[in-house]
Amino acid sequence: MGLPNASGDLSTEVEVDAFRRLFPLRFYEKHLSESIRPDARPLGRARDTTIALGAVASANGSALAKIGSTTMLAAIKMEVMTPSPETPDEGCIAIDFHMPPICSPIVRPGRPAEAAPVVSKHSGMINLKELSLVSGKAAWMAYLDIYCLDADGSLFDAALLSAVAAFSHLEIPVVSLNDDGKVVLLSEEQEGMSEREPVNKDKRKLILSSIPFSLTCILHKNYILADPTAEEESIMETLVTVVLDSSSQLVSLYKPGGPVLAYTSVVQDCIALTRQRVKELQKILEEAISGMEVD
Amino acid sequence: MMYSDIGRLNCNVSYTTFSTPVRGQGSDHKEYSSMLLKALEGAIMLETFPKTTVDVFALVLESGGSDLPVVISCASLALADAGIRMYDLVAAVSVSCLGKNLVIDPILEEESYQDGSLILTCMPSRYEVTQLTFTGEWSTPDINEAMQLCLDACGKLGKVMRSCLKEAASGSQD
Repeated sequence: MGLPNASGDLSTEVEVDAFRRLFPLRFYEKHLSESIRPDARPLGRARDTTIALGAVASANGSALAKIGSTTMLAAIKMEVMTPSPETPDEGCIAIDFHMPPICSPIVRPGRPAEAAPVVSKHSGMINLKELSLVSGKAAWMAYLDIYCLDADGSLFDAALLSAVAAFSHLEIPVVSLNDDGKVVLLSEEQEGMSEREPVNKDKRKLILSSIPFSLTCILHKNYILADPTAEEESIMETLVTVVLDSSSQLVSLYKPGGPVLAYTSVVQDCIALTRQRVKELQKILEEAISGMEVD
Repeated sequence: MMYSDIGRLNCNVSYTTFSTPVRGQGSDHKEYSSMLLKALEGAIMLETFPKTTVDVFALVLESGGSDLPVVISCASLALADAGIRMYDLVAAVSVSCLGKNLVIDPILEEESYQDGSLILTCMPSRYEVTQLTFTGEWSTPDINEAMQLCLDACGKLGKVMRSCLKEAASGSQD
């Protein structure tokens, strides 16, 4: 065997696995030219997705979402707070995203996780007025914490999906006012027995109008790869994340730089892919919710 | 870092913010990380991986009592799954003393009323104890009974852990 002076000569000789490690980009490009990805997906297909509601019993609402091996656990805890004087009849939502070191070999404790996406409050999904208890005196503070248990690409999609699922699973605790006008939690045994009227008897579930769903795509040359894995994200760097709501209206579009420029047609293609994905995700979420109601 | 001809073990136990009934109380368990380290260190053949550090990260998703024993048993399974050489699996069980009663594997509520607690960590097939922690008020006959209870339970737990590993290994081969 002569000296490897050109990678092209080697590509037929070395084993597939070694080639994949040495020339990851060429490895991917060879697959892409055949319209297939190394994990046997067509370019536009997302990985298998599952949602399990009620994964954490100690939270008021929780969900575990898996897209391929990317795993997100979202849980909501409700606390009573005094609303700010500017918005006396609105509650509040605090969102935290955590990447513990178990989620990926590249995340180390103490170092802030670079990839930590911030699940922004998607306007319109939750009417903050619904979180109000007593105008100007008491309202709900919803703490939403999302933990990434396994980071294998498309973190934002999985985080948003788990957050949405957790909110649809959320059951608001029953509270009543005591003699001092303070809000107290009623436990389940006390319910009905207590003479005090619960403040929020009919408002146990949040009404979610226009639920947002998202899809991340990688742009590479002329190819669009939907729902990339961590390996794909590390090799090809241009990402586009599209968020659509359940009626296919654009909520947000995010392209954080990258070497590939997105032309109008590419953006339209990404949105079209997301539109298909929203239908899939909606079905998965509905199945998860109806599965809970049967139990 | 200093040169070392035996491996190092590094353990960290953390809680999610929603794991405890009141949000954000999980950070009270700072000592768990070092207790996990002490429980595992005796079972791992550190000399088989010189100049190397093994990190064990445990994240408690939901706390329902007997957290540390679960974390220890789970970590030893993860180490075995990662192919780290050990003398034996490490199984851990806790017992709470409530008045005259001994309660094995206590739930959170039982733990809050306990007079004393015992956590026993052992290597079941070698019948060796790697860590033994007593807290609170105990009488000598209770101690004997509780220890025997824990050792028996660890033996049973060890069998379950072993079959679980075998299942995972045969599953991945197919």
